[in-house]
Amino acid sequence: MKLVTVIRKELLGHVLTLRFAAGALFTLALFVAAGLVLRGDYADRVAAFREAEGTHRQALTSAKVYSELVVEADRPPAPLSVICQGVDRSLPTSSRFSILEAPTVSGAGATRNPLLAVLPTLDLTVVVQVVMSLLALVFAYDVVSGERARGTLALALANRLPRSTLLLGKYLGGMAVLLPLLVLGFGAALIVILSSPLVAFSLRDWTATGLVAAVAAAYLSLVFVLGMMISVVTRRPGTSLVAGLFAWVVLVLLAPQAASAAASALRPLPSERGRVLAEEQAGNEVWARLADYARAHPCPVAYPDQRLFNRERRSLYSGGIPFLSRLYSGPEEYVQWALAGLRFGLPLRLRAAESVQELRWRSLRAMSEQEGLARRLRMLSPAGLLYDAVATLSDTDAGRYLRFLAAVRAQRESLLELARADDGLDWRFFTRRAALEMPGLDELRALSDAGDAARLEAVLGRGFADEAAIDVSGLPAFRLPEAPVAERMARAGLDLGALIFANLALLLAAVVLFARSDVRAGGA
Amino acid sequence: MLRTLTRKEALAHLLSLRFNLAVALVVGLMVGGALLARGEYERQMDDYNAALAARQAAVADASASEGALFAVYSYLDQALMMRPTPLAFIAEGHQRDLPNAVEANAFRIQNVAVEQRGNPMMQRFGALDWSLVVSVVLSFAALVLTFDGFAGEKEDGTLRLVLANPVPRWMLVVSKLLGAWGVLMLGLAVGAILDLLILLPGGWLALDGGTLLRLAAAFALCGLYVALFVLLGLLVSARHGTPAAALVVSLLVWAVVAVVIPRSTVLVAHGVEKVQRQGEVARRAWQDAEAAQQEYLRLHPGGPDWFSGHWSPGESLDMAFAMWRAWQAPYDAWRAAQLRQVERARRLSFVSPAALLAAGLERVAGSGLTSYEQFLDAADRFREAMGEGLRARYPLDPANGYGRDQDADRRARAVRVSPAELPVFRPQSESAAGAVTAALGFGGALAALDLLLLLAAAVAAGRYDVR
Repeated sequence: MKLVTVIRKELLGHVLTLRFAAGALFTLALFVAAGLVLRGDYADRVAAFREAEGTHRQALTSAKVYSELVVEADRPPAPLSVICQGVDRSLPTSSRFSILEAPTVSGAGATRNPLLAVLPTLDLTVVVQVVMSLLALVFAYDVVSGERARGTLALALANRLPRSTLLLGKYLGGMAVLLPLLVLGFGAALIVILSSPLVAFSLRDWTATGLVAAVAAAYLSLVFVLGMMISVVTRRPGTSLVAGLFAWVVLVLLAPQAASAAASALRPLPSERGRVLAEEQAGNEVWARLADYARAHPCPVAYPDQRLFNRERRSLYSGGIPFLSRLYSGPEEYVQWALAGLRFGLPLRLRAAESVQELRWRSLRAMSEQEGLARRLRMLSPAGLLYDAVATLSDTDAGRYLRFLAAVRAQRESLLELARADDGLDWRFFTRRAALEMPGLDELRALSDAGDAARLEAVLGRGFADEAAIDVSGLPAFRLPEAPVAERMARAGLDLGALIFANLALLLAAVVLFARSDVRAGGA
Repeated sequence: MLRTLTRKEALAHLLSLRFNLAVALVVGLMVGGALLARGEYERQMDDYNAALAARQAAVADASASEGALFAVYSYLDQALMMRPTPLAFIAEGHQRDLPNAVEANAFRIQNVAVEQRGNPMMQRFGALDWSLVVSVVLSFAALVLTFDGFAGEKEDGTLRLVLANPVPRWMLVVSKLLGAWGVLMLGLAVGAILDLLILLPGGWLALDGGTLLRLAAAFALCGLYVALFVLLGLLVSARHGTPAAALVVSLLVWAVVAVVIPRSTVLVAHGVEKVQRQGEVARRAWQDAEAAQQEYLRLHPGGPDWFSGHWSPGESLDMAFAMWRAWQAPYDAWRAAQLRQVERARRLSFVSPAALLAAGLERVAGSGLTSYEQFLDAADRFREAMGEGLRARYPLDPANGYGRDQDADRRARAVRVSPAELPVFRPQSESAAGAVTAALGFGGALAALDLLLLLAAAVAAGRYDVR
């Protein structure tokens, strides 16, 4: 009963102030404005994703031989990047691979202006992180020291009101102002965002959004409790405000930056240059072995006897190395030679692609470990905790990107399987007619020497244009699996635990300190 | 008299806990920031030098190859890289997020990209540079030192005592300004000297005239900015009866001006300029290139009309130039629109002195948007110089291709290209004087605000009821 009275008094005390009116209006306006910008940005990225996906699916159905089958997988923007952008916008959005090439990544989420990265991000999470936390501090700094300075604290405690109840009432009263504001702001921003036809939340997204709101509430509560604790230990409201803002500057503005910077210094990334060189070396080794092979198995047809081939105007010259990517028809002996070379070379090139892929994973792992360290260091700051927990719950942290790359890797395995089942790693890698169907060298020479162009063309065929494209229906459509909320919760578990623990610990500390403090105005 | 008053103010601050806490934080952050910046600069320079060596090797290979003219000027896309600035510890200017690499040959520049700049998986929270330390921490300290300049002395009763002596009130304002500003700048100077002690050994940062000029300009900008908040504190203090009220008001102003406004710039960016999507630009570029080809063929009938994508033996040189010029134009317009969008948004944020300071420091340090703009300009100049070099060396009629003419082909392929004669790419190299001159505008704006606040503070102090 007493608690309710205290809460009501605190609530009214906050709501009737100018700082509440100004702060609330400003925060709501900021939420709505941020919502508008985020909605536009997300709609842009979804449109770009759909366009790219369509183009890439189309491109997949035009390959005539397996060497040309280039798969490009696109990463859809995370639906909850409208709440917390995380690294969703700055990481590559598409990955491209083929039978011979390990996946490479390209593109970035900013489809119109990459320079916008220069301006600080302002998503809903940042509004909570910076602006609402400031508001929480402004409400909290004088809850105790203000009343002590005015002399009302001693009066209040002259009644039969336990100190812990008074402090708890002040805490709940403050939260009763902040939380509705948070819900209102979040709600207004979400209404703005969801008004776009391109944004649709699934049940999973709604659950995650609810959790995000809960984390934001826990963060604001932490800042409020911190402000209240400072208010208990300082004697004058002015001192409370200075100390509170000092702590805010350090914990909210400086600590996350310092933690990220410290992580990059403590665990530097291996040189990208080194990886590129290692990749080049893997490729060069294969070419060296192919060149050795070619010396032992010289080409049976001399360059540039191009009349004996149908290569569709492309130069036949492959440096005498039997590794072709596209040939419609030619002398049987030549095709047999190229096929033998392919059977020797393709396993080597597949292994090289495998090792290139491994090198890229290693570099990714180093980046991911560095970010992991930064994340642990950022746990020292409530603002860091908030952002990391929300980014994980929204699936806009690096985890989504790693999942995308794993899915790409699996898709390349599917591609290899498809090719293997269809002789795509054999003669269909570079041609559409088995070697035995090709005309013999002597026959072609005779026709060529006789100058019988029409017969020659009939024997060599008209080219790939008449051939149907490779049937890729056996290749499963690329899909990036969304992370279930439970898994996100598990990944954010440490941050969530720390947030709750810090709340309880500080609240307890504030209660203990308040019980021991001198409530008289003036005092020592 | 002024000196006595100033000394009293300065001594009072120097001995206070709040000053020492703030300065410890400032100096600690500056030292940490310099250590990190040094490591970052070393890494970036390694990458830059490796890229430079790779580019030179590629040019040498192309020059030595058969048909060097085509290999060097057309087939090879030289990977140009922005040179990192050693002064990033003053203002990092989001260098990690700005594109720093571009590919260029005699015809076009393409693939403007961010390369080898740290960890893309890392959440970005900005850098620990002077810009952050001064705009947030030192300005906060300035308010904390001055909020009780008048209201506090009034409460203690000392204000009436001081004014009982023949001291004009404006002098009181000036002495309080000088006292607080002086000790804060002393803290900044200590941090700056420690920064130099960290950065000078190892030769990463050469203390030549240019660097000194840039450092001095950066220091001056910081000084003007800090003075602004000292004056704000005094003004608010002279307008309020109690120090507590003065503190609340001045800190709220600080929070909005130094923290919230600079972080909200992105909200206005989308309103000030519309920028096309990359896909739209790419489509437009190819359409324009094909139109240019048709136009060229209409004016020069009879020549070979094929185009392989790279200017190759037998193709008309002028046609390739015309096509690539048409291809380049939409991209140039696109990049210009991107720059305009961000620059206009930032200009709107100049209502906050913190944004003015950040922009001024970036200009002085040679980082940030301007450095990117200069890098693109330099790449474009390089492309132009390459184009001129190619025209000068091409031994045949540039207007018409020679098709399958074996003799012409032999002559075109026989041209030797020596890497030493090729144009040198000079990445953004604005002179120190130029950068400092450009930063004068920001300094001027801050100084004007200073004067305005000084006047306001003097008037407020003159009307202050000291009882």
